[in-house]
Amino acid sequence: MSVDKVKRSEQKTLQIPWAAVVWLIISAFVFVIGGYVVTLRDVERFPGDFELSTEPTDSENTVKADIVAGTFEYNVVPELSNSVETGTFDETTDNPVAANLFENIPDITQVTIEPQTITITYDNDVEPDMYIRRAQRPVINAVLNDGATITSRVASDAEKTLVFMTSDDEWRYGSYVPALIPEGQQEVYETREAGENGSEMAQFIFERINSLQALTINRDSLIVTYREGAVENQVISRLQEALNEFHPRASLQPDLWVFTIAASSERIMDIIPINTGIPLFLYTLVLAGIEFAAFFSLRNSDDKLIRPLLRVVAVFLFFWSIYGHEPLWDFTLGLIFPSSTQLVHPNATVIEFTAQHLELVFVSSLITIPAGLLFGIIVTRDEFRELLPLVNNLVNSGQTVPTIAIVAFMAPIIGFGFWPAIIALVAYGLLPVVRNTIAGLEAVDPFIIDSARGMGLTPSQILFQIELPIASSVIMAGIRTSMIINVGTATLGAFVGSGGLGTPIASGLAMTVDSFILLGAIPAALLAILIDYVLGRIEFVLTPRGLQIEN
Amino acid sequence: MIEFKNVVKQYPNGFRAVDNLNLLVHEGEICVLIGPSGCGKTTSMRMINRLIDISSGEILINGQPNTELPAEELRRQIGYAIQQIGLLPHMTISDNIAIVPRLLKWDEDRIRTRVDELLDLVGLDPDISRDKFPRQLSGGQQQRVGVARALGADPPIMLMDEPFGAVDPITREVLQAEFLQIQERVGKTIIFVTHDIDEAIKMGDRIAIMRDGHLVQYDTPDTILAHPNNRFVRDFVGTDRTLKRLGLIRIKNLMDASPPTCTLDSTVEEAKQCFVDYGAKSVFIVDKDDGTLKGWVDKEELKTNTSLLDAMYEAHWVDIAVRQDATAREALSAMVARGFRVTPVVDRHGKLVGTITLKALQDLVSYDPTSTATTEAVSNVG
Ligand SMILES: Nc1ncnc2c1ncn2[C@@H]1O[C@H](COP(=O)(O)OP(=O)(O)O)[C@@H](O)[C@H]1O
Ligand SMILES: [Mg+2]
Repeated sequence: MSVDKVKRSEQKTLQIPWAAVVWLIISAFVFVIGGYVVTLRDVERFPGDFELSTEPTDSENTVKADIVAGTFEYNVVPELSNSVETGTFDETTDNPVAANLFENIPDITQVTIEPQTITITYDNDVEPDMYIRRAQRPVINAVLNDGATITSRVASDAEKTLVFMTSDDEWRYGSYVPALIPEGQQEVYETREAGENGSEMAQFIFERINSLQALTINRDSLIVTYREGAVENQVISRLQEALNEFHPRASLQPDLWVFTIAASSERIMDIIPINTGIPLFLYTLVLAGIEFAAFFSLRNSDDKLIRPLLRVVAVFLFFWSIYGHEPLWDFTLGLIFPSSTQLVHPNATVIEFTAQHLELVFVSSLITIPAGLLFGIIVTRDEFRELLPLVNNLVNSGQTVPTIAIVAFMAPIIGFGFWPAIIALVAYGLLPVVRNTIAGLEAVDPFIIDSARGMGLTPSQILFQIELPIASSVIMAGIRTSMIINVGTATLGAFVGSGGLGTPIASGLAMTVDSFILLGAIPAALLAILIDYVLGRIEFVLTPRGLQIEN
Repeated sequence: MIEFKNVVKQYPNGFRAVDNLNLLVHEGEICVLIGPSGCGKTTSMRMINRLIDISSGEILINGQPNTELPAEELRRQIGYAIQQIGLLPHMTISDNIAIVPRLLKWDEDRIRTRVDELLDLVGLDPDISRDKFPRQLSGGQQQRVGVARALGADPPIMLMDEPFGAVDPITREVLQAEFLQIQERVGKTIIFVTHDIDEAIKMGDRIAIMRDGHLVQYDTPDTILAHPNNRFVRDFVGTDRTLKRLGLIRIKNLMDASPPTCTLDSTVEEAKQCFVDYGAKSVFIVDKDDGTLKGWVDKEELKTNTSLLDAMYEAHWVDIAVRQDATAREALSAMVARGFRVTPVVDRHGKLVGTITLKALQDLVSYDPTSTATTEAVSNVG
């Protein structure tokens, strides 16, 4: 009797809920990694994102001061070639360099050419910056010398002071507030000389900005005073560069990002990102709990539906929490690109890109799947069977048209944004669904259908009770292929401004920031795996049990 | 009763698969359609439940044209079984059998008892088979389910297109025999398509031989074997049609039911008297109590021996006798093998019930089969 009992309890303990154990291990892993990453975040020289705002200290000298008239001077190095005539010219000139400048820059009144300087006079209410940019190419063209570089200077009477501030929002990854220098300290440099002998950071900045006169470094702001006559925008951009270089992770130039079309941000689904390692840890713990519960409550029941469903939810949440774990991305990318100045994308988090991406995939699949099924069913009906060879050919050859071609076709026709991308995705994702629906229905043993007809089933009963259930796994495989293809294809949508994980890839390519490419590519690949897994489970649930038995 | 009246089937490509077919299938009979491949058997059969449309002519079922009901309704009243079976792989065995009853909206309790009843009928254990899937059954078992499914809603008519064509010969024989037993109980009107003449002879109450869409001969198996209409039928039934005919006849209808018999304790004198009474060359020795065949004694042996026991050839009845429910063909085979001109006939316990002579068999097949003497002797093997 007692021996019996021991044996039975032994048998019980032999069964281990492996899934739950795996989740426990993952949660422990997350706990360690999450803690590690958060700790890393607190290292002092790790300033995070800066938001640039220019604030005039003196109300009379605003940055966008109205400049009614002014003069540019361009210093041309090396000298202009001797063939260029020097002197002062007006609009009627036949001097090729001057004429070129008049042609390219609107509203200028006079051009003076000297061996090392070209001075342009204008009398219009335009930002000087524009003139500098417009002048650059004609001048270089005129000089006909590839080595020519141009420095510019705007004549201005007042000394200006700019304030650079870090964002005072909580740092997006957690409660870390980025700091330039430790709390409570301040560095003040009244002169260039003081700065050039100052702290490492001060030296760094003074070295790079010649027009810098004075500098104050606070914990979360910089106050910069520049020399009279310096170009303000240039001071700003130099300072940004200097800061970026000094703080490897600082991201100060959001305007440079390409393909950030405003409309995309409106479509972000309402998904609350999971921000830190702690929620991720809690999630995995809950999932372990779910698996344990499922193991003990469902062990004796036919759990074809509940357990796969639980597992799908669990895996989905886990992926989702990884996606929301920005420090993990930053940490991982930091390991891959230790010297990169930019790691995570400044415009949106991974989870936001993924949400947009999923929206692209789901909206297109919502069209693709019913349409593909319907189409496949129609062409396999006796009444439309003549169409079948034609459709088969179309479907097979359609697969060879590159997606990017479809995307490129769509853009000029319906423009940029979400829907052109959807149309391209639907056009492409339709093929596997149609092809597999046809294949699945055609593979149903004709004698099964014959015997069903012979027993008096109507055509619709045959379709819904026999053909579709038997073809279900082949059809699901098509849906799976279609959605996986769409996950990959949707990244190309970024080129027509649809948003999604293609956005960081596109800007990474445009700006040659490798980490952005991975920031799009890794989540996209993981997403494909996740969707394949989820659909595989659904396929398992949908496949009739009698068909899971091999002959 | 099913009646084909001038039925023609011309396929869209102009091919006439069935050409002016007239055929009357009697109530409760198995009518076997047979003929070489492509002669239009399947086409003819499928026109009955309108899986194929008739080009001209009509088919009457119990006097009503089969076009009166909507096709689906008609088909639900006609059982349908095919060689490929066509069980639905995603449904359990019981769901497969319940298809037509469900279409006819039977209530679930009735369906459940019907399924079990049918599984029993076709020789499958309901408790074991009910919840299995078709792929978990052997070919023979699947074919049984196919038959059970065709019988599902107890239709008066069954159409069977080579139903046992795909199983191995041994299983086929078992299924044939079982099906004949089932038919004895249910008495359906059955159209049975086959291309196997032995199966046709075994299963058919009547055989319709077809060729190129025409009916060549429609008769009972024995008549077809004895009197083939023409060369085609003669070739089709085969050169051993005499043997096949013998295969249709049971010994018990043919034997001499009063054999020359002595018991084991008879005296030599008694035995000698027996030879005189029967005018036979051999006398069979049986057990006095239960009549079991123990051996035989020849006339010559009695002259030299003083005891019957010494004179007799002792043998087990299995080795020397044929069973009374064997066919004449089996008896002939046994006689040829043993070199007997006369062989004893026993029941299944070995009790001697008669004798059969080689001459009787010869007479039978060279006899005019239309005369009453043989018609009585001939009966279908069943
Ligand atoms: N749909 C069709 N179209 C044209 N010819 C057909 C069609 N179905 C069958 N046939 C032809 O009709 C003839 C009879 O076919 P069938 O009744 O199936 O023969 P079987 O006696 O072997 O069952 C065959 O020669 C076959 O080729
Ligand atoms: Mg056939």
